Amino acid sequence: MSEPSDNKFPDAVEGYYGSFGGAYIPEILEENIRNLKENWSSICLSSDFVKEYESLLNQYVGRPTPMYHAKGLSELYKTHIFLKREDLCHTGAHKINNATGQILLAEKLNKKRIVAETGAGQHGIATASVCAMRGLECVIYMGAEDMIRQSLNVKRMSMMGAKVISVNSGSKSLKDATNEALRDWINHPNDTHYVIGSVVGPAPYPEMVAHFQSVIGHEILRQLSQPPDHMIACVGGGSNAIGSFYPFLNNPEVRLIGAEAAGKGLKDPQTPATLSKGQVGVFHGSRSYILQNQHGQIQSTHSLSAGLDYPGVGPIHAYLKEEGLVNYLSIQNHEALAAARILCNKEGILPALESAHALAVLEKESFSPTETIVICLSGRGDKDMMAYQKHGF
Amino acid sequence: MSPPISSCLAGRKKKSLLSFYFTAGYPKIDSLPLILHAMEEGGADFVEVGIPFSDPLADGPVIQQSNQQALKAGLNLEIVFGQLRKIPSLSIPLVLMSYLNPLISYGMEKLSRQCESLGIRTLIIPDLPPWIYEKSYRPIFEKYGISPVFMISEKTSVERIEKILDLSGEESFVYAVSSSSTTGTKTWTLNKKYFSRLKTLNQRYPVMVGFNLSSPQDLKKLGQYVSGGIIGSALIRYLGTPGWEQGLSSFVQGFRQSSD
Ligand SMILES: Cc1ncc(COP(=O)(O)O)c(C=O)c1O
Repeated sequence: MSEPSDNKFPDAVEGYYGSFGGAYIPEILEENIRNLKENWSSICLSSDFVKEYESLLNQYVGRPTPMYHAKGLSELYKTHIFLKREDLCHTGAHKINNATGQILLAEKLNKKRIVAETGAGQHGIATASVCAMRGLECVIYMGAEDMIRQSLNVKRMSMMGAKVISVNSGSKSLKDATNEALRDWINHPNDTHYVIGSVVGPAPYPEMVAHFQSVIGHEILRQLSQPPDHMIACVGGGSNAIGSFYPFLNNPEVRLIGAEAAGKGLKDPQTPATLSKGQVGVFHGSRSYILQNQHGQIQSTHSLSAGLDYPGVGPIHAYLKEEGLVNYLSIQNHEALAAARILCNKEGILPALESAHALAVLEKESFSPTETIVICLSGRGDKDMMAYQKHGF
Repeated sequence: MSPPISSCLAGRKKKSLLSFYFTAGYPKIDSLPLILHAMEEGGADFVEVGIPFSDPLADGPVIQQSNQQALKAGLNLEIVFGQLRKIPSLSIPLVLMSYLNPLISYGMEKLSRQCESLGIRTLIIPDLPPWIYEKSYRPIFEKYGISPVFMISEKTSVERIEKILDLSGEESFVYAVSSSSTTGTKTWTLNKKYFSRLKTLNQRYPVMVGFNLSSPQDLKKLGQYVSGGIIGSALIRYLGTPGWEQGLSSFVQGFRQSSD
């Protein structure tokens, strides 16, 4: 866990990272957001909380996750590649680091009901599972389109006792599920906590989620004898990426690479490549890059991977991009698919489609034989079997 | 051109004010002039013209759907201003309501200039909190004589209300959300404690109540506490029924009679 002293992150000032972030929320949410803002860090840094959280991470989530020296991949790319195995977390992705932290926090805030949005379903499953374990009511909003793409995950959430609500508004995917979760919170301000799934949304969410995911980076630092030369992660909202980058942000020796989805390519009007093609605006409560048309309407996007199919990105990443602290690349569907196949063949690991975008960076960049590269393997690919099958696997 | 809202707010002690929200471009892309005309004829005191947005966070299904339909028809801010410019003169004040992003995209300075030229001096931006307004947009608004309207809810503290009053302008009112809810989502019941607070506030500053009001009876109930009420989803639902063009001014009148 991060002690405040090792937290060298460009800390959000009043919820801003440079000019990005903030809390652009309707008045009805003001009390809830203020309550979080005033209390989350003191609760989450208290020794009781840290003890309970760390014990759950260890016993329930299965942390620390392994740092795997991928020899087959290393041979292929003639360098030293390590995989941070977030796919081995309970429920199959890094999302549970954040869900566990936020649900513990919700308990301390006396909330009895949890709502969350989900795209790929990983955040929904993580939230539903922790809620089942803690005995909390759980409602998950999921785009109707995504419910078809990720039908197995819908079943899993239901088995955990969560109520999964199909969202038919807008583009029927992650952005619309997020709208509905926020609307639910507006309508249930007293008993409900909204567990947002990435480093997006109004302050203090981005900072709070980054804090919970920073366990990834802290473990990486501990598991390698020295910082890597390159740290690579995929970026949807940006939570596994920021969690991986966290301890290296002030270290110019470590080159940070974020892989966002380009879908069918940057020229496709539905490309979800927010950092490459977006403009600055206000969406889901914060100021960041967003994909929008010339009238400020949010675009619907399309990526093969539901978890990266989002027209916004965390304000922290907007800031890191503007400051040139992270190199953001965009990866097309076919590049991610090819990278997934290579990982299956060389290492016997089936990656989530999201994580495959990070793996695809290996083809794009060149690395020297003496360098060490860590890739955050954010999730496992079982949920994506339908997509893999459809694309000839 | 439309008159400023202050003229109508000044009369609030004598009669209960009746206001309507509707989405520009709904049910048809060019419905706006017709709706405004019926509003005048039916006796609305002022109207809120909503600029559609792809992701209206604070709105329930009825307004969401009107937003989507208007966007699908191709409506945007420029078209709304064009339609308003063609209306020679309006007897009732207009208030513009929009989420922040379409306004940022249009440009705040350009927006303020357009509003000024059309006599629109009041803006409601539900996802723009007071302190961000103060920091980022107040100078532009003041330069063009535009007043912001801020929302309050049953959870808004006394200190916050004072801050909101500080930031409000000559053409502002306080928009009190009837209960913790998105628009058109819950059946409204009057929370006595909250409305007594609103009543006290209304002595100092005009308070209009909106969200989930749907009947003339609702307006009647409000009348003794605040300056008036705003009907949104109920109007939009009506605009979705056949024959609304003929019936709209009597629909408005139906509410008028209860607030007199
Ligand atoms: C396995 C996996 N990786 C990555 C992501 C993208 O989210 P983030 O950018 O917040 O890590 C998701 C989101 O659903 C996911 O399921």
